[in-house]
Amino acid sequence: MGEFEELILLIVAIMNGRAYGIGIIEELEKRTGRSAAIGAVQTVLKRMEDKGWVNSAFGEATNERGGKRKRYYTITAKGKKIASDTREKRNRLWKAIPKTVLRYGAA
Amino acid sequence: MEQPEKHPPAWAMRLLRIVVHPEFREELEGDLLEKYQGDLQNYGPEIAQKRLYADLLSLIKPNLIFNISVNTMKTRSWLLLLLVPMAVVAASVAPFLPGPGNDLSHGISQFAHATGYIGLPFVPFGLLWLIVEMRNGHGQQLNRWTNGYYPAWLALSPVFFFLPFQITKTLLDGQTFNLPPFIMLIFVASFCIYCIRKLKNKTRYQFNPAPLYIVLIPVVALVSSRFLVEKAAEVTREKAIANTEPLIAAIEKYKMDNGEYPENLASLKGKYIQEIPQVNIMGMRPYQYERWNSSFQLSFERLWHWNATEVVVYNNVGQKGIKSNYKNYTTAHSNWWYYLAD
Repeated sequence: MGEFEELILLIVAIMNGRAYGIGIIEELEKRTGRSAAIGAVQTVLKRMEDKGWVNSAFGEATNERGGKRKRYYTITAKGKKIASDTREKRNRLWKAIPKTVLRYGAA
Repeated sequence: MEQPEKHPPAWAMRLLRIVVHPEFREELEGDLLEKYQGDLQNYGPEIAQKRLYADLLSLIKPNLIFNISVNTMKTRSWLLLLLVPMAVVAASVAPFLPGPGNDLSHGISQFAHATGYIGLPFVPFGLLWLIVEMRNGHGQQLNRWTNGYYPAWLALSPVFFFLPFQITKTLLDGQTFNLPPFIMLIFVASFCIYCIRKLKNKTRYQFNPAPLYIVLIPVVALVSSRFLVEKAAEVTREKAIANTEPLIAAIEKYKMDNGEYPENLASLKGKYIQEIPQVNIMGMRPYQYERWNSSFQLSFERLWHWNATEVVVYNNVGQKGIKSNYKNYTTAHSNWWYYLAD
């Protein structure tokens, strides 16, 4: 899983059923300070849906969206397992770093 | 009355509707409008419009236009998609690949060449089928157009026009020796018909790579036979010529020692040269030697044109002993030239 894919998957999980295109971009910016284009986010969402990591369903339409419905994304069991496995891998790597390397001011 | 800048340019939204896959249209249009409204409030109309254009550009991605992703096709299909064009290119340049000389490589190359031309009428129909196939979406109820049944019949339609016409023409001309390729084509067409009939009842979305091959194979065959073959022919010709340098030096040494050129190349073995150089390119025939009164000729032939044999010739005094009026072409080496014989 790529870094951007991981971020989007985690944002979808954080938003817990309320994640949709623009909402994900705003949440991503708020939590990581990272901006993303609609196309980049949507490409990742479609790819993750193909892989079965997220599900989607149409929600409500609003005026500001010109009457177009939002598509809400939710993380699936497979997605949760992938996210969890990735965190495990990261944790193992973090734990493997010698403490002297992590200490501030070390040369 | 609303100000016009409250809405994004109509042409931009029209473009979006054309470009993105129908399955994603509503969601993406809504996202763009919502983002535009937010940018309008935060940054004003000018910047909002610029951001909208940037967002529109970011939507030009294969999986948003065609709904195709790496998971739409199985690994085996992707691998085949890579291997088939490579095989077509290899077949096109078979006479120029290293290996023992044989005429089969020429046959394979001509087959690839013919595939390019024969396959060309199928390409537009294949393209149409490919677009239909790529615009399909998950969960979509397929009909006989979207499941590829009618597009496949269309893609096969040139066969029904050309095959009977060509067979009749061949029979009328009495060229029955040309019939085997047509018989093979009838078998191929029958197999295609069998596969098309299976598409009739397909209702569930699954990407079919068949139209991709209909487009890809003729295009790759044509491009490789048009551009790659000429270059490969030139490179291998020069290589085969350079390969003869020790042989020519041995022949000249024989002349100095014996006062005349050797009767054949076998006379050189042992004292003048260890081994007679071999061409080692599949489409080339072995070097030929001919002794003339005060000069000699070294040549080799190769098949790579439709109806002509390329004869590459060396004469130590530059004497051109061609019996017919073939046009000569020069090479990068002095006293070497080539011509195309019927």
